[in-house]
Amino acid sequence: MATRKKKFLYVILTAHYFKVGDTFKKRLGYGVTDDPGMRVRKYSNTSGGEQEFVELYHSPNYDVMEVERILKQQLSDDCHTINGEEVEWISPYSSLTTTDLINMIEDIIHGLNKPVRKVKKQFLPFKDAEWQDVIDSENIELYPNEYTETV
Amino acid sequence: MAKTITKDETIPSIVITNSRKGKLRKEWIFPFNFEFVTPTGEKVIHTLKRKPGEYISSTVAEKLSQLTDPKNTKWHSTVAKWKEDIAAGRKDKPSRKMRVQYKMVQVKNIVIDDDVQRDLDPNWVATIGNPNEFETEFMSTIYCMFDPNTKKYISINAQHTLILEVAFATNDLWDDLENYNGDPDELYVPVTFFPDSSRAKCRKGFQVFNGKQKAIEPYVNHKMLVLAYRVDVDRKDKDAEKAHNLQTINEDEGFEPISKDDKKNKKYSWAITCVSEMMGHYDRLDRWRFVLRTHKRYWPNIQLDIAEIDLYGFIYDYFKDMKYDMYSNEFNDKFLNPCMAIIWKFFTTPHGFASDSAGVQKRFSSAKTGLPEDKCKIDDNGSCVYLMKLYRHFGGQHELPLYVNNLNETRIGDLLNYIDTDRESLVEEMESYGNP
Repeated sequence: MATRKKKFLYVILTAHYFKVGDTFKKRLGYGVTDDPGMRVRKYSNTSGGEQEFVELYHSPNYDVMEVERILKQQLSDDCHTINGEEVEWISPYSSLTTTDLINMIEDIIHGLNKPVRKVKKQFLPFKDAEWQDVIDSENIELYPNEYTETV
Repeated sequence: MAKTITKDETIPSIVITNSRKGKLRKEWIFPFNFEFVTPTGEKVIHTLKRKPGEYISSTVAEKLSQLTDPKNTKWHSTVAKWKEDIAAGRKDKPSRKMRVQYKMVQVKNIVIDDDVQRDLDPNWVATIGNPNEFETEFMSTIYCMFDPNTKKYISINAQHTLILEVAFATNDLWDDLENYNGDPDELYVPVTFFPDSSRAKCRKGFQVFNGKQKAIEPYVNHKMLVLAYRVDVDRKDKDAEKAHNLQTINEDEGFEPISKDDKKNKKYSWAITCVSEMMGHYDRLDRWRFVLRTHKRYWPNIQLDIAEIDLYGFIYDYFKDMKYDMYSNEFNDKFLNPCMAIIWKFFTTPHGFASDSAGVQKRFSSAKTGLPEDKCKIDDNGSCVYLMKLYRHFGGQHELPLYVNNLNETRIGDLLNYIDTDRESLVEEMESYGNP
């Protein structure tokens, strides 16, 4: 069976806060999926609150999977660990901001010189609301300029 | 200069051009171009580029500070758990008095409990005593439990070392035996011990000493060899010289291997993380240089992937045998650039290609053997063969080694019949060039 391939890369900033020392912080993360709607619902269901993707990238040829792999390497020093295991969340002790993470992703995309595009601002943040149903691979590949823009 | 005037639609890689003499001629052009990127030019940190006597050290306080970094959540959870358990009375604070002690002990006072220690392996004793490698300083500490009731030291670990120490004495192999009357029982040996009378504790001790060990990663072995040659000026160890030679290539080409725990440098494109595979090139330096140069030419801003080593390595082996100059412009233009264009266009990176290649090979192997895909093994050179097949399918004209005909069976067809149908752009392009 072929490996399940993903066409979307997302950036998530949790809606809820974690206590870190004496302060409270949202947690920043990323991942790939072939169904952003289902994925964001999973985050919401397991965390007990509505979650949203602040940024969403798409590539018809699964390029986002390689973008994510390279991103993971580049984030090694900022990576959060849970029980000693590295996870796809940014360490709460890292100074990396959402903008920094987005810039890193876009630098990687530029470096690979591949047609990865980002979902237009009018469809973000992505929370699988009814008006966001149009954001799927089929629509994006049929009408790329309607739903996405160049990075 | 020839001018392109038209394209033969039936054979997409052939264009018809005007020659200088005005005659029409067919010229081969590969259908996909590799688009080179500009290297970001990250400054390489050459940790192993050292002079004789140049050591790098740190204090315990510095290491402690490293440990207590708030990012080390597992450590902080461990400390928190200790504190909670002690506060709740579930645990006592561990006693400093139970730390091991050291003493010279007469052999007659040591007991080897065969239920605690494994059977004596005479070959292992001989291995430890191998005259080519033996150094007294590296003999293991004899680890015991001192039973205050019997006044005996129960051996927990290093019985082979103990027996070797005694056997050297009985064979008169020690240079400086003091207070030794020829009776092995009277020989004094160095023992570390803790006081207790529970054999269960001995058994646990044996498991702890022999079970939980942090494995030495390949990077550490490479580093030790390189530093032995460069810093300690060891000119007798052949492996050290080989490691130094390979490391010099890394440095010349702008790369540096890193430890798997080196999170600071893991982000850089110059970092080599596949160290074991790198060390496999101690005797194949030219092959390694080709791997690095090929990576640097096409993928300067991402890390060398483990898959590239076999891919470029086999290309090097095959075309070297065929007497090609793999650094020539002709080889780049006719073979490497088109191959990298295939990887870049359809699989994004060599890692993406290798991952896809594994799937293709497993489907092919499954069809051939009837085994489920997850039980099928792939060939070391399978990715190289797959790439050459794609290159040939898209009209590549460079001479190829006969290996390109591997992974083809009369009954089930060619490897290219098993490409991943999810790769829609690849499928479409392949169909436009005819079925394999």
